[in-house]
Amino acid sequence: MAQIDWVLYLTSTTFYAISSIIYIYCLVFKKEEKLKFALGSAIIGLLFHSASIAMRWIATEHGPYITMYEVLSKYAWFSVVIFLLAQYKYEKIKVAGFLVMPAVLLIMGAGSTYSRDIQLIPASLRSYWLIAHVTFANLAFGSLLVATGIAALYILKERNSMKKEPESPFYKKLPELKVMDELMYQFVAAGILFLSIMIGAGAIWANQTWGRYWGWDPTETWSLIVWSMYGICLHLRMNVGWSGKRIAWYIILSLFILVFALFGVGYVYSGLHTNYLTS
Amino acid sequence: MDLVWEKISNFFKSRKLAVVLIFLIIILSIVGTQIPQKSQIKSDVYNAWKNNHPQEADIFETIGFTNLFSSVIFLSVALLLFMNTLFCTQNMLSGALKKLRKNQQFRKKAYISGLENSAVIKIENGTGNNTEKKPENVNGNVVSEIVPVLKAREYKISQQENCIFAQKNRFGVLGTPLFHLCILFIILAVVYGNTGRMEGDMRLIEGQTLSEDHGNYMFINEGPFFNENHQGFDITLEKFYANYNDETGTPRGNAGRLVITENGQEKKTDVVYSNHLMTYNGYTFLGNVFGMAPLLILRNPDGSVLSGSFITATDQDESGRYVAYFKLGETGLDGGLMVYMTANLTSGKITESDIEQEPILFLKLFDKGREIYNGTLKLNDTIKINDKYLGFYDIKYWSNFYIVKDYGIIFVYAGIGMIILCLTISFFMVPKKVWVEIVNEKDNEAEIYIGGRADKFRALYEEEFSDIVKDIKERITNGTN
Repeated sequence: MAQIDWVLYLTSTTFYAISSIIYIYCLVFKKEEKLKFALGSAIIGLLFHSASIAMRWIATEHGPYITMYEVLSKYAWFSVVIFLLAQYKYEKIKVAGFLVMPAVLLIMGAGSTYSRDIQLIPASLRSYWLIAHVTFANLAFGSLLVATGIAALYILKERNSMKKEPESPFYKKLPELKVMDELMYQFVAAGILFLSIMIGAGAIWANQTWGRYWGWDPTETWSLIVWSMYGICLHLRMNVGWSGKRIAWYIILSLFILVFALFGVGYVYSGLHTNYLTS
Repeated sequence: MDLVWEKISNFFKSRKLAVVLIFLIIILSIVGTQIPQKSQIKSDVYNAWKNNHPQEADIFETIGFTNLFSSVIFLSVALLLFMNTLFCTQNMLSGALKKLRKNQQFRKKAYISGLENSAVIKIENGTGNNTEKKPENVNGNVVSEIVPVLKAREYKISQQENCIFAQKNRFGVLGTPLFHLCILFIILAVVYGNTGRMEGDMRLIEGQTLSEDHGNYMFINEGPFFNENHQGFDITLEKFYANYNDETGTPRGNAGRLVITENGQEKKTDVVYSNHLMTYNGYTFLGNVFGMAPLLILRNPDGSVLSGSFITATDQDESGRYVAYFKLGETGLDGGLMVYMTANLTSGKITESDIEQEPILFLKLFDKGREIYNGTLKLNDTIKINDKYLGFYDIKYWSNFYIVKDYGIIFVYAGIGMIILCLTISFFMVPKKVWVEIVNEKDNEAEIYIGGRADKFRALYEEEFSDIVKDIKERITNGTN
């Protein structure tokens, strides 16, 4: 069973790689008509990926939230699902896959470098709050990754519109700039909501496990930093008049901090979360 | 005076100030993760860092950055942010309530035409661009076609003569101000909780009972308003399990069965393990470190007890070997011991459940630094030390229980729930309004002026608005079917 999940994982990674290549090809060569192949590959990849997670779940008898291999796989899965749902609702943003799918591919690649040995769920992690905590972290990452994809598209479209020659048909098919600006805002808003639930669930769980809901542990502190970063983003947009390109760059740069907070903190700092974040 | 107050109010109401203060909190938080924090790490690790970086340690200690999150600088920024949030919330809330009070606002074509989203549908007897068939009773029929379109999109509708006002998610305006109010609420709950908070570690040996009093805690931290408000009930560690399986057979790690008694009456009993705490009378009991405690008794030659106690030994390297250093009563002797559970070698086949483990104790004793004994003891073994006898008579588990009393927690939880609710309302229950005026300038002609506005995501609302207009046009042209 464990081998099957690995084969499915590799298969899904291959489809995500194909999807990433087609998305980038479509963006670089302005081939809008080929996007359906990229989308198709992403969907097929997701099916294999879902099967891989299900197989692993059955084999380990716990959800995909114990080893880094499982955790990263789940982050990638949620990112693809949110991206597919987003582009189902706002079809015009489908080319944002040029950023989302390579990011997913990187996460899958990183996940494959960790041990695939099955680990029993330790007593300290046997809590329903764990499920809420990590699921909403995944959802937040997925939403903010899609926001970043739209932000990158915004910058490309805006740059294209500044040129003297007429706008290429490829960029014309993207949503208007003001619509993309609001889509970024909407996905950041969803991200901050999911981050809030993640932090809230984590606080309640911490109180049950350690007797305090907040202890300025490096992981906790970095989650607050990320929450505040995106909070500033919303303030800048709503109150200070930042919009468009400036906010798009802000969202792109914030992703690095988000990635560090989710995946890097465990390697840089020692703290209560460290064992879990690096297993 | 009013001018001063206005200046203060304008300063604290500034949204730009909010951005600056949140940014400062971020910077300070990053600094706090870079500089070792006394409250986060073990004292020996902190001291090692201090020895290796004496200059930096001196500077950071002086400015309070080794306890950054309770330093004057951090607390001042947090206080400013609190004030800023307070003023902004007051401002936002009064604005939102004002908006809510403005109930039904019917608008005329001049206003409607000026909106970002507006359209005109012309109805007349004839055909042509932008024209629709004229129903017989223009106003009545037009209204009856418009209302279902808006109702289908969950708008609440008010009508007055030839005007329609439709709105949905009216209370969405409260989302953002209430979200900020919740942040203030959580901060106050944290302050309230921390000032009256008590936390401490109580060490109990299996079978031991201690009362909930200040002196019985190994470590205790009391907030300024706790006021030694200890309850004095008795806590007994009835049984300790190194590997506990709950009633469903799920392994739960180490666990302790605690019994709370008051005036000799049992009030509560529960097994405390990771993610399964026990609460009683506002106190929370959590499992903490545990170890083994061998009972060593020193006797006089006539058999009378000179000194004796359970010595709590700790497994510091998670090797299953428990180590302790101790003084042997008033004898002037001191020593070190290591104890662990071991199984006897056997020639037969046995299952895991058959394995009987016995404790084995490695003991070293010193008299003023001079080693006087170095050997191994099994349970009930006795050795002669000078003219006295030292026996190893029993062994039990001990466990520390982390006991917390924090009345603020319930409010913090409520605040977290409210924040999530308010964020959802703020971003996903966007207030939307549609105004319609039907103008009959001639008997056989009518113009429908439609305008709409959303409080947020206005560009995205354009699509919804154009769908509304399209549906109204279709209904007027084709009728209900």
